[in-house]
Amino acid sequence: MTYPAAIRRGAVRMGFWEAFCAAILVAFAGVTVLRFTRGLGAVTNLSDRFPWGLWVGFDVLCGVGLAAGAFTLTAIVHIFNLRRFEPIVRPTVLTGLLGYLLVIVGLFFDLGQPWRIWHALVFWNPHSVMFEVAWCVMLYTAVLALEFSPIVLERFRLERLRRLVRTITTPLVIGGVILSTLHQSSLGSLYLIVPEKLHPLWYTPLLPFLFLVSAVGAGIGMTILESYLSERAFGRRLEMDLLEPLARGMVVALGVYGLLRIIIIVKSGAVAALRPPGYEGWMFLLEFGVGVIIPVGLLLVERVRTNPTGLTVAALLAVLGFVMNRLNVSVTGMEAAAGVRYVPSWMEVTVSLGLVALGFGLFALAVRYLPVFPEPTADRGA
Amino acid sequence: MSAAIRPALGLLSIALATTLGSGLLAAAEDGVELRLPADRTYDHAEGSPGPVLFRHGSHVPLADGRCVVCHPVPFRILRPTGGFTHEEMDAGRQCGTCHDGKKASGTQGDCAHCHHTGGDS
Amino acid sequence: MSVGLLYDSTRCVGCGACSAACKEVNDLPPPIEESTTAYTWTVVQNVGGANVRRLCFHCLDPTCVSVCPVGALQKTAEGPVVYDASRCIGCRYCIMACPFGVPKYQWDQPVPVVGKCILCAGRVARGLPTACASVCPTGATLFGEREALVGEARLRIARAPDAYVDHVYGLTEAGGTSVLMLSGVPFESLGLRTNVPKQPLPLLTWRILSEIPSFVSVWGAFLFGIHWITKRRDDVRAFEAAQREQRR
Repeated sequence: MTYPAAIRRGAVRMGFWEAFCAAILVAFAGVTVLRFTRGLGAVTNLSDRFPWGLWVGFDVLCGVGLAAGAFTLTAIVHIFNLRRFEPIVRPTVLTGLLGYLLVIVGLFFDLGQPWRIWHALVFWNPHSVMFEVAWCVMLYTAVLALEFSPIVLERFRLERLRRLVRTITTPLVIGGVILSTLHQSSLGSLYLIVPEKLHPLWYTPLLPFLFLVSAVGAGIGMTILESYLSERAFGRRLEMDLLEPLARGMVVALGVYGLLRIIIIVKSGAVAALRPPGYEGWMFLLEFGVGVIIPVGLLLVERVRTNPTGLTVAALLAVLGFVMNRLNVSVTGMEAAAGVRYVPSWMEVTVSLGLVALGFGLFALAVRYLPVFPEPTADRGA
Repeated sequence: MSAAIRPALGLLSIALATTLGSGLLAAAEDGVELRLPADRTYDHAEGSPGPVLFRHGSHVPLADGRCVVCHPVPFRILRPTGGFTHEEMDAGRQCGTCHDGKKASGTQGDCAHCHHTGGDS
Repeated sequence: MSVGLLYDSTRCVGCGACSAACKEVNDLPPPIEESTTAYTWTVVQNVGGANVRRLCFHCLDPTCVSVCPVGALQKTAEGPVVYDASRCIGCRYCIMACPFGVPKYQWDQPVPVVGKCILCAGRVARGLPTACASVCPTGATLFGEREALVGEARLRIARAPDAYVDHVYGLTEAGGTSVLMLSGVPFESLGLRTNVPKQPLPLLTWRILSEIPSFVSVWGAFLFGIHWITKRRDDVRAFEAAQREQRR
């Protein structure tokens, strides 16, 4: 059957979002060709003054951070033994695995010679934070693949293999939490080496710890968002009895994070950049308001926390605030010292959006063909 | 060197230096020691009327004291090259970049302008 | 013994012989650009009437060397910080991190590499001076042992205190560099960064990275401990429930 016929039959949905994703992916393919035939300069607005842009700030920093739900949830279930959260582990691990795989794809665009990505395996520099990030991301992606494998093995009824993998769950999860703690914080450590370049509203020796805590918060936020989107797309019900306590965890993470940020900028004197706020000051206030103040304020109200819409809105804001923070660290905070304003080119935006679209598409495919959710999904218009 | 050439070249250098007041020579007045590269003699090939003497002193002021005007293209700066021919000059390369008959004297006309004919070198 | 350069801006006449020699010895394509790029590794600029050379400072404890994940940048024993293009994966962390803004990238190439002054490491290893120093007509660029150059720089300031800013640029910046500079005007007016920390920057991250083995063991033990305690609690509950079942 032809594709248009399939759409008419209702076998394939072609709503607005599907059409939008398809358009993005077509543009994405075109940009990919340009990127590898004409080089980075032809496709990005990067320069010697501003060598890291959207692909580092969003694809890598946000991609890794937003996939943090996987290590948080697996820790909750397998280390803290809170078994009742088990039903949301599978979709969260799927989100994590897809997130890390897409970060690696994103790196293939950003690295000048990505076919040499394996070099970190044989050429070592333990003094480099990036070396440590590379190794942790590689190892952790393998851990995620192993944590996800029981789902695939179950589908193909490879019971013995599945049980074999299940026996190593505990060490796998512990390894995953250690690896995640290391590289989530190391993404912040990348910026420790530029104290004279990163704006004081973001630079602090505690940057690695701040990155870790905000990743935990954002990871939970993504888990809540993923549940909401799955409900809308696949007819899943929103497990409020599980998401509500998770939301409390997010409030604690964001609250601790927010308090720490305030203490840091007051003690370092960076708060002077808010009196009155210049460009960086406003970007900070926006990030802090959207990502910390409003979500924490909303979720402290029980009526909001126990309401699916309220919960989802708060989670969305927390995730947006997280993205703003990572972009503020990597872009906004570095602009003054660089002496240039950086705005990503439409081609850079296309690649980043394309990766997000791929993520959604692959998630939907996985849900359709693999036992990601415990109960069968409700059929839609079949 | 032929008795006729030396004073002529000397006058030329002084004239150019004073009229153009290059940065290099002005710096000499400020007390910065200058170390211009040594003059080069290019041996003549078959059929050439005589060797060619190249003096930095007569060319540097023309470039406003900027070595980059000639170096490293079309003239190398670290290991001097030779092999300068009229053929290359007439094609606008090597010395012909300037010595094309318009910006400066070219391969036609007075051979003695560049080649030391007769006498010792 | 490590070598370096002393660049005295007051003796520089802006002739650009250094740029020309650098292009030639490193086989770089023309033209000589206005500022350093991946294809032009040193330039001399006239900033507000004074001349200043732009080139790599070859730090004693280089930031670029410490951040490169694959060790493509190395500080040699003789002094130059060299670049191995065959290792480079193009992450551009060196460009992002260098406090002097030195490394540049081949943004126009599908197979790009980094470009920066390598202090003529090949010539230096053979006992020759750098190309730029060997052609400088005024001696504004001097090549020699770093110690000797520091002495010479201090001597010049002492002999003519009105002619120089009382600071040798590169003596303490980023923990000290092999390329030193003297100037008759404030260094920031030449476009040189004066906010470079005195402490070598690599220490800022090594402080943390060096603790990773300890961290992994402690954190791992803690996580296993939590698992063990909570699992035991579950096991005890299950055992007691089974006992209650038996009694019924």
